[in-house]
Amino acid sequence: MKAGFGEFCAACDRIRAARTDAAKRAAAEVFLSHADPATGALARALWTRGRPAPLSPAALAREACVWLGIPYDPVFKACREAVGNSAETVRLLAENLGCGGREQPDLPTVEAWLQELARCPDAKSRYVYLVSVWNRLPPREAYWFVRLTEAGGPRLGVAFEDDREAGTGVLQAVVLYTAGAEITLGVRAGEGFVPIGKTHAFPEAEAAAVRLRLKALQVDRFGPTSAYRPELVVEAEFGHLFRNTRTKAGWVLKSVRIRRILWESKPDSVADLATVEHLGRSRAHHSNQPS
Amino acid sequence: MGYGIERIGGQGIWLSGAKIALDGMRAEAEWVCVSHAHADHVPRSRRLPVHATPATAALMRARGFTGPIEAIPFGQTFGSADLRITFFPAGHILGSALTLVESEAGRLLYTGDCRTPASPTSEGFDCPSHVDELITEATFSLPIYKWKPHADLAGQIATFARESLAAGAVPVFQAYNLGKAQEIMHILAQAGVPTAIHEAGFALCGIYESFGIPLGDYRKHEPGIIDGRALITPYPPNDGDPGRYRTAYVSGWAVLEKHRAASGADALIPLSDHLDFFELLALVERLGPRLTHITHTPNPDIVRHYLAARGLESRYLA
Repeated sequence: MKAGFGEFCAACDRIRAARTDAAKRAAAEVFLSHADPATGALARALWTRGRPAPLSPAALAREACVWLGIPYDPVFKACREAVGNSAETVRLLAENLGCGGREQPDLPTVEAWLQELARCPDAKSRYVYLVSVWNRLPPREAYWFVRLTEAGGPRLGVAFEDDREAGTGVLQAVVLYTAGAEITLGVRAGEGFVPIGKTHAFPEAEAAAVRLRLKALQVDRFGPTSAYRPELVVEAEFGHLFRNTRTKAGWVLKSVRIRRILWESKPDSVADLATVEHLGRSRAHHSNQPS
Repeated sequence: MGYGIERIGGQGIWLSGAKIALDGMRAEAEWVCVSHAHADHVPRSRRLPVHATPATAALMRARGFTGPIEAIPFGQTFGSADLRITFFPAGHILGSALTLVESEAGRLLYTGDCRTPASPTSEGFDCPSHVDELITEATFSLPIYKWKPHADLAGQIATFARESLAAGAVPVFQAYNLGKAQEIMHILAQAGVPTAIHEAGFALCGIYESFGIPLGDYRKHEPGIIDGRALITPYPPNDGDPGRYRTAYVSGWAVLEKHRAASGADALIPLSDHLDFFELLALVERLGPRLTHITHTPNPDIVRHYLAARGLESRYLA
């Protein structure tokens, strides 16, 4: 089997569909086992790293309408409302309306395209370049190309045991909320705790014990969301720490994985906002730059 | 004189000019026609005299309808001297019908819920060659909805069941008790996978078989009994051991990735009982009505936009 961009995108679809850390990693490994070392390393980087986002969803939607030959209002707008985001709406519409190309580039070529997109001097040229990519790639590949341009990467929740590149950091956090499979972690802020990032799984060996403990800590329910007394401390590993002024913490962790449960730790051992701020500033020089 | 089309309570349609209630109820109605046995299309009163196809009649009875049902086979006309009503197979579920009304006011077709190509567990799909007015459902009324070929989706269902069983898990198909459930059973029967079905759906399976639709080796689901069967149920089992189940959400809505998290399912299989957007446009073009009334959709403007581009006049039946 080849390990081109088409196979990479098929792997992305499978990783997204997988529900546990182990299943996500297994889906990733299927691709990696067919890839040469350079392509494999590139794939891992694309799955786990972020970079400054060159595209905005609103502008992307506008350009997509011109490209697909449909009006924004009423057609695209209603479709996006049903789907939930612009990139996937474009994928479905391109598939159904028969838009897009047939090229099957290899992964390094696509990485070069991503870098070329990031180097475009202004918004106008970025979207001209994006449309040229849409014209070359099939809808599924075009979709994952867009997802790879997003800040924080494609957010597939795949992490590798031996991934200890410069970007990976660790801090202690508490579990604040869960909603379905989604887990919200928090850090100390004054007397209380504020959300700092989300992840999707506890270490599998301890998942059952964690469920029991959380049941005892539960204080509130909002539909599918449960709130807990902030007493379960975990060691969280993260790929990126971004400034985000729309969150209470002002920072947000991306590509988060819970490495282990610190059963013995007290909540006062959890990182506070000053620590996060310091971590974020010291990491800014490498994690926020395109690689 | 026209038909005087208006919406009544819930999903129903009232033709004031012909005194016909479609999937609904009016005190002055002379005919009440039920397009199919899904609860949202059966009149609220369970004691009403209604007209329906034989399979719909049997399914309504099994679901607790006690009123007199005049069972009218497909293609047979009933009504009065100046009003003729005929059922055509709608392909949605067993017994589902398109309702054709003919009078001096012209030929009016009401789709109820329909699907073409038809469900293999229905009587097929057939429609008149031309109508003057069309009342159509438009559940999947956006161009993001385009179904894959049925063989692909049937393959996905069979593969999901086999792989889950091989991995030692119970495959669970989350699907409605009437229609989708039996279609999945029919597909799994062809794949040689035995099934267990939720008791409310189980009660309807005998009717499918009596109308000649094989459902294979199945039994009623009893909580706690796991014996290498695929489970078909409208909601995921909640017996404290989610680890042993693998769930597939089988619905047209499964086209959308957001339903993966919303349903908590391991697989999304977009098999629908309805027309997709493109099939809907093709059906309206084929029937060539002077006016199309669109119902059952939050997005009538999009369908109307595309129909207008094809020179077809339409309105939203709000």
